Amino acid sequence: MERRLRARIFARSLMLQAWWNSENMQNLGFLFAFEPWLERIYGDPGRRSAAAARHLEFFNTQPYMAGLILGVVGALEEELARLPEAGRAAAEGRIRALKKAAAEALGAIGDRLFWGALRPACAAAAIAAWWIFWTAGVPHPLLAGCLLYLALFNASALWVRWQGLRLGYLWKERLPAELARYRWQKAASWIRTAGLCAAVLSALAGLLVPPWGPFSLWNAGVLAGCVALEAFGVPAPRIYLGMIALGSAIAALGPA
Amino acid sequence: MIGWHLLELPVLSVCAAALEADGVYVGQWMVSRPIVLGPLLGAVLGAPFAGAGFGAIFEAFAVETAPMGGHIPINGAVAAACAVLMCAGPAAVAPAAALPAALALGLAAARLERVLRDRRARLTAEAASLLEAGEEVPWPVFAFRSVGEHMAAMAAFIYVAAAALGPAAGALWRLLPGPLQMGFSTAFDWAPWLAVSILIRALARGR
Repeated sequence: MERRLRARIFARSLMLQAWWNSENMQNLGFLFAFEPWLERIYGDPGRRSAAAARHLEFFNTQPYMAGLILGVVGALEEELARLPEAGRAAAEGRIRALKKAAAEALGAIGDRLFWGALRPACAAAAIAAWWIFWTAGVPHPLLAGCLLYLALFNASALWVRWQGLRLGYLWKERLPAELARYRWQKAASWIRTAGLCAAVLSALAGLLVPPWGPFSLWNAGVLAGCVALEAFGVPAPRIYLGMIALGSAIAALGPA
Repeated sequence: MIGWHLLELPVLSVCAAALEADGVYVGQWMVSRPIVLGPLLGAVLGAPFAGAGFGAIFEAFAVETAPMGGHIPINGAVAAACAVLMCAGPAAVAPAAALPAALALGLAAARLERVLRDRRARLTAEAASLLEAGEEVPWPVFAFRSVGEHMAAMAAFIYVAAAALGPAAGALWRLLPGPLQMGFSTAFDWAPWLAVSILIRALARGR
């Protein structure tokens, strides 16, 4: 895969969701990202338009995993362009089926890895970093924490996007088998564990370091109550409403 | 006050809307996350700690639900931006009042997002007819109509929220009975603990 083409598709894939719509979701974004490849494969404008129209169908996946699908579809589209007229319909069906299946499977992996693990873990790391930078006297601790969040998240996300294009192109129809070799679940679990440590550290720092510290049983009780309610599956907005009700009740019933 | 409404607030609303567009439309570099946008906006307005506080709270509220499929969770970026603008702006809304107001605004922004996404569905039909006629899809025009429309709508939303709803929330706050004010203040004081507990729960689940 040419580096220039890969860079163009990578840059365009950052706009994958720019035309996000309720009916076909990322279909236009996929076509926008894939267009340089179609231009390279199909010199004839008529064939290029027909191929582009095929990619206007429903498409939805996790945005960081889209590179893999773009790579696979690009490789298969190159093969399709070389086929005689008679065999093209079957190959088009194969591309359509693989694109759909890969989008679903990679969407599930990406949602779990990026939205379910990396994003909350980075948030917890940023909050823990605020406390650490604050107590260590680092200048601009809040900004430093934000930069840490962006660096941690984007290092992985951009790497997956960039490498995904190359790997998808190499793997083609072997994508499901090759994906199974990667221990995505384990990776997500490790990220969550690291994030959980950062979140617990933030909670401890909150209890011990000013402005909320030094340690008070009252704050510890509130934190424990919130964790317990969350563990029982009470939604956060309800807990918040409960806090308002409890605070109001205490104010109304307590001594003036 | 006039300078705020005519210059500072419009510029800040457009900047916040531009950063918010990163969340779904352009890049997904996470600069739209409340935990980043809140402190940045707070630093610009000279209230970095208020920005960080609101950022962390709305990050936790927004982290609970993932934007999977067609689901549109609370718009944490808009909520954080509105909260910071209401508190750090000339309206100086009490943080305890700004938090629930911004939560409601974040949910309203998610509704607006739904309307915009429904409207955008017609672009597919337009692209299909262009391709059928053998023409190229005018991507810059399409981008302007999609991302541009979204940014304009969100900037207007943030502007109206901060310019009109902020003072209204402040006025409403002053009318609230004492115990209810105390209840909101208590909930605001406890919100950081709720935020941390949401993160702990989100990370402990399904490990």
